[in-house]
Amino acid sequence: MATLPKRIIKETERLVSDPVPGITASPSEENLRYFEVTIDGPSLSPYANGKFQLELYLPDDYPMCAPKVRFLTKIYHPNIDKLGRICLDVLKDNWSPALQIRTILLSIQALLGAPNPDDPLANDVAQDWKQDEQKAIQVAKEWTEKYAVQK
Amino acid sequence: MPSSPVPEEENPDQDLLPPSAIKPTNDSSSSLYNSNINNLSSNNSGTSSPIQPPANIRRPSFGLNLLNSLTSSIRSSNSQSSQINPQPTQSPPSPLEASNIFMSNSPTIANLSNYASTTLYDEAMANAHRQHNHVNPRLSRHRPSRQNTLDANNPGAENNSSSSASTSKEKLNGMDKDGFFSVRLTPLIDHSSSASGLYFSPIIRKIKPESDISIGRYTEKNKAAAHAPQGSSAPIVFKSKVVSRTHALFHCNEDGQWFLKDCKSSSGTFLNHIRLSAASQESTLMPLIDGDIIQLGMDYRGGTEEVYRCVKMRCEFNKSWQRKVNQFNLEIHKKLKNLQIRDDDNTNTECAICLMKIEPCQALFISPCSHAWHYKCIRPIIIKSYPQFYCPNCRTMCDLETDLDDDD
Repeated sequence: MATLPKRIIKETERLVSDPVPGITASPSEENLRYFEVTIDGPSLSPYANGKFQLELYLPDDYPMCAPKVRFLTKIYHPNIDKLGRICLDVLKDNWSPALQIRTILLSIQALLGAPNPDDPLANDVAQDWKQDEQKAIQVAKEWTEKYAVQK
Repeated sequence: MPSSPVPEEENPDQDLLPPSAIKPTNDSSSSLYNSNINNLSSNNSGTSSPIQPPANIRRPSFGLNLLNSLTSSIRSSNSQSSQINPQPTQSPPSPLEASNIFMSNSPTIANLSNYASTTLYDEAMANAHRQHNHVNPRLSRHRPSRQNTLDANNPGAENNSSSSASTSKEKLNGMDKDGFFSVRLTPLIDHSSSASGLYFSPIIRKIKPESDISIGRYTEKNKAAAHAPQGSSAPIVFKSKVVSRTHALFHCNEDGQWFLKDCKSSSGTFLNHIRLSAASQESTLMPLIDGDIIQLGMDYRGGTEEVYRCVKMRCEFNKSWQRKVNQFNLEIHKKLKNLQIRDDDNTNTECAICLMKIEPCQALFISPCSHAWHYKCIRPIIIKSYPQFYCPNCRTMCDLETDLDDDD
C-alpha cells in the first residue's frame, strides 16, 4: 500500500489523543484508511442509549473528496437507507477538504438528532415519518432498542 | 544547438574558445522574462552596468543577468543610494519593461538586506564579488586556471586575510552530520520555448568525500536508481535517449568541492553551455559551483518527443538550497498572520488541508476571504474552478480575477 498521507496520520492521532465525546473511531490494523466507528445516539432523540456501528473509509484522494461512511447497525431514519447509506450534504456536494473525520462524524450524530423527511433517502421511512411522526419515532425507538442497545 | 551563432557583443574570452562552443544566451535570458523581449537581453547588461565596474559590462554567459541585477540592488540599497532608479532613465525607452521587472523585485530585495543578518549581507557581498571574479576564469576553464575558479567558489578567497576562516566555516556547513556532501539537481524548464528540456523531479544525492556518482541513461539494469530515495548515493539516471549509459560523473573531493567529468558520452556534456569534450572523449574534472547549468546531450529530432530531449539542469551543492529563516521571513510571516481572520488561534497557524503548521518560507495562498493554505495543498482546488474559488474553510465564493482597484 502506498504511504499514508501525513494528514491521515495526524487526524488518526488526534482522534485518539482528543476523542469526541460519544464517538469512537479506530483505524483497522490491516488498512489504516478503514475506520471502525461507533456513534452514541443523541440523548433527546429516539436513538438515545443506542450505540451505532459505522464503517468509514478514506478514499485515495482524501481529503480532496469525502470519506465514505455507512451505518452497519440497522437504523430507522428517513435519511439512512436499509443498506446503511447516509444522505448528508457534507458527504456529497458540500464536502470540503477543511472538514475532517471528526467533523463528519459529528454531522452524522447531529443528523440522528434532526431527521429530515423532506429530503429522504429511505422513502418508506420518510413516508411514515410524515404521515405519523409519533408512530415513526416509536418505531425508531424500538429499532434502537432491538439493534443498537448492548445487552 | 551549440553551433548557433555567437552573440554579437564583444566577448573578451571569445578567442580562447572555438566559436561553436559558445551558446547564444538568448534562450536563458528569455526564460527570465518569459516573454518576447529576447532582443532586450543585450540591454540588460546595460541596465545593471552603471553600478558595476567597467570590466563587467560584458554580459555574463549564462543567464546570470538577473542575479547580477539583484546583487547590484542589494549593494546599492546598502550603500543607501538610490542607484536603482537611474537605471530606466539610462537605458533606452524600450527596455523599460525589463527594468520594471527589476524594479518590482528590488524593493523586496532591498528590504531583505535591511532585515538580514550580517552574515547574509556578507554572503551577498561575497556573491557579488564572486560574480566579478569568476566570470572570466570560468569561460576559459581549459586554461590552467583551476585555482582561479576554485578561489571564485570560495567567497572569502579574494580577501586573503579572511579566506582561511571562511573556508573552514564552509566545510562545516557543507558537510552534513553523517559526513556526506550533497547535490541537488533541478530541471531547467522554459515553458515559453518549444524545445524545453526533459522534465524530471528534483534529484538530491549525497556522497562521501573523495567519491563519485555516475550520471547516465535509465536502463532496465539501473531501474532501482530511478526510484532511489532522495539523499541516497544511487546513480543519477534520466529517461532520455540522448543521454549515454555512462554519460558523465560527479566527483566530490575531501573539501566538498564538486567536479563534473564527461565520461566519453556520445552527445556531449555542457557546463554553462560549453561542451566539455568532443564525442566519445573523456574530459578533465571541471570544478562546479552553485547555480551551474549542466546539459546532457542535445535535442534530437527537434526534441518534440520527450525521450529525445536533452537534460538541462541547475545544480546546487552541499545543501545550499536549504534556506535558513531570517528576520525578514519571520516578520513577513507575522504580518501575514495578522492579515488573516482571527477566529481561532489553531486555524490560524494550521493549513486546513494538510493539518500541518503554516510557517515562514513556505509557499502560501491567501484567499480574498483571508484564509491561507500551503499553495501545494490548495492548488488542486484553485485550478479546478479558476477563476472562481470556493473557500473550503468558510465556503465563500471568491473571484480570483477581480480587478484590483484602489478606489475604495
